[in-house]
Amino acid sequence: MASPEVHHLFHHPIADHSFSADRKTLAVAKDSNVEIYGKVANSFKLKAQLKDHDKTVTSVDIAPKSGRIVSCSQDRNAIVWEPSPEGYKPALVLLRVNRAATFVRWSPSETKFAVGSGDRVIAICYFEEENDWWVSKHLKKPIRSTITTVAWHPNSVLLAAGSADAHARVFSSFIKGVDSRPPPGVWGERLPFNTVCGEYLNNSAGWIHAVSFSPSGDALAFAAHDSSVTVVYPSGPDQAPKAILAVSTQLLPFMSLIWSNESEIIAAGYDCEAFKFHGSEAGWGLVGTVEAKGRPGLGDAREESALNMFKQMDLKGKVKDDTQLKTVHQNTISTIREYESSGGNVTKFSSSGVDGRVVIWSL
Amino acid sequence: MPHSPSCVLAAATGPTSLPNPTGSPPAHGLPSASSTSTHTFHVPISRRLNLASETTLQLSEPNPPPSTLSPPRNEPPKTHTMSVIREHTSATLSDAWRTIDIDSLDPDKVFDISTLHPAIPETSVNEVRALHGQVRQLLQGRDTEGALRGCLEFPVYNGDNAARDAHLQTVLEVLQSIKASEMNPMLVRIFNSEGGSECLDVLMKYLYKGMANSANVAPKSPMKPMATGFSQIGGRSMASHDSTGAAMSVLLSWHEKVVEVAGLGCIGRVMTDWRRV
Repeated sequence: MASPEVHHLFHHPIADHSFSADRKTLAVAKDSNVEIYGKVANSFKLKAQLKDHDKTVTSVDIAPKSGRIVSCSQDRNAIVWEPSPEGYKPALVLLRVNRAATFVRWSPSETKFAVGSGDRVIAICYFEEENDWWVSKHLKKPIRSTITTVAWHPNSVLLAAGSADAHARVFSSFIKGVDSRPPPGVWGERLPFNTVCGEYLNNSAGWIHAVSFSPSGDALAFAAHDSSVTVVYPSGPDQAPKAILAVSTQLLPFMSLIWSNESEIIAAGYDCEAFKFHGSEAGWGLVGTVEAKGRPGLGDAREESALNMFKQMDLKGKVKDDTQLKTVHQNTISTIREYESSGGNVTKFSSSGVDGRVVIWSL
Repeated sequence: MPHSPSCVLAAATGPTSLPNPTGSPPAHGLPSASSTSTHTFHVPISRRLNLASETTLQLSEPNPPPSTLSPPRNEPPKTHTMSVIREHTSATLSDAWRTIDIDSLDPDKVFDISTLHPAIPETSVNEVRALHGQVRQLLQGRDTEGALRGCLEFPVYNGDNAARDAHLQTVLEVLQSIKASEMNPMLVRIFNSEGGSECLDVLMKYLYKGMANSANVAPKSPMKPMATGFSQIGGRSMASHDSTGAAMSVLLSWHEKVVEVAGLGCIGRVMTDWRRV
């Protein structure tokens, strides 16, 4: 396994990160700005700061084909940044929410994006040509609390959302004139706007941190604050799902998860490292960490001389320097994303966290 | 009050820059420089506090001609409006707006919180007592693991306080009858069995409930302030204190062992779980 590629951008939390399709541009949400980094040789250099938000930016996403960046913030706004030769041009989005916008993702079709908010709504935003701005339609029922995360189905119509009311839900976000009618699938046949295709709660019901559809879109995984990962296999419209498999772990909660293929999930969070889960409809289980343990360096190979020992005793009152974690990330991982894939398998993924690092991992 | 920023600029910079030196009112109704400067002093202090200083200059004209009230059509860039805004926000700067209930008109503001979760059947005191009898039989038959599993598989999630407390006593009785050397292997066996993770979560809930209860019992006498200014909780009457201390040490050693086996995730689950014991 190749060693991870670490980019320590700054000493500040990264709320969210996103790479462009060519992986040469990296957008991160830092404080109330979106920062754009460009790849120079093997490192990332700051290229631009997008400064239109006036409160903490909670999420950022780059559309792979169009290169448009969408960001959302606690100032209750979302902004679409159109790339142009002079830089990024902000475009207004009419979100109509009166609480913080918490999470944003482009649909795979890139004609829509979904913004979760503390206002108990998800705003599905699409571009209205005649007025030249982005308008939104609200998914409202039956959300009872803040939306913490959203994820798109490959067909760009179904949307999974996790909420602080401990439910993971699957909605239809079909918008006439924007979407083409999706073929019927396991989640439903007719899918008008705001159809609730599934509503799931696991046993101990912690609030949801992350949701994700499997690559085929026929299964849903979600991670909650009760340190669990739950996988749902639906069997068809208006029927109980084939299987709901919850894995409660001994670890701290996961903040983000992705499917690397139909039988493997990568999840990372408060334990500062990523974990692999394997399984199928028959059952899921934790396999282990992505990171190879016992790596050299990082304090282990420190000189063990008597001089050094007394120096440490004098400076810090202890012999061992235990200020560094053994993981690459030195704090909570907040987002993981697919970085590279081949033949339906994710081969590389990227992670970003509270420690200001963006790390690219090989599987 | 509508005004032209260009006039304000002219007035503020003094008489030399005034475009109309004759003293007659100019097109925008700007008073002559001399009258402006004298009148500024006579503006009531309350009005000057509410408005930016530039605006007070305009107000200083006691009876402006009617034509002056209409603003000019083409306004130059408002360089001075910033100062007006700053003045207003600093005057109105308070946190009062934070207390505005922005959901007051939202029809879904209040909802029945019980609809969020599936209902749990209620457990009565009699059922708890019956379980207690069975558990006691298992304990007498030296099947401590069976007894522990038995009481952890039927937690009282929905019941009155009597039922909840009775079940807590059952669990505590079992915990106290298990030897320290048996704890770890027993917990590992339970954890690795079917539904074992859930069982240990339940055990953790009862450990915390037990700790909360004994903490409530402990301070029998109120705090006695001492002459030195220190206060001591509970005084020196250790009779009841010793028994709760012993109970607490049992709970703490179990807590340590459960975390060893079920990890920190177990504590997180106890905190997030809506099913309380």
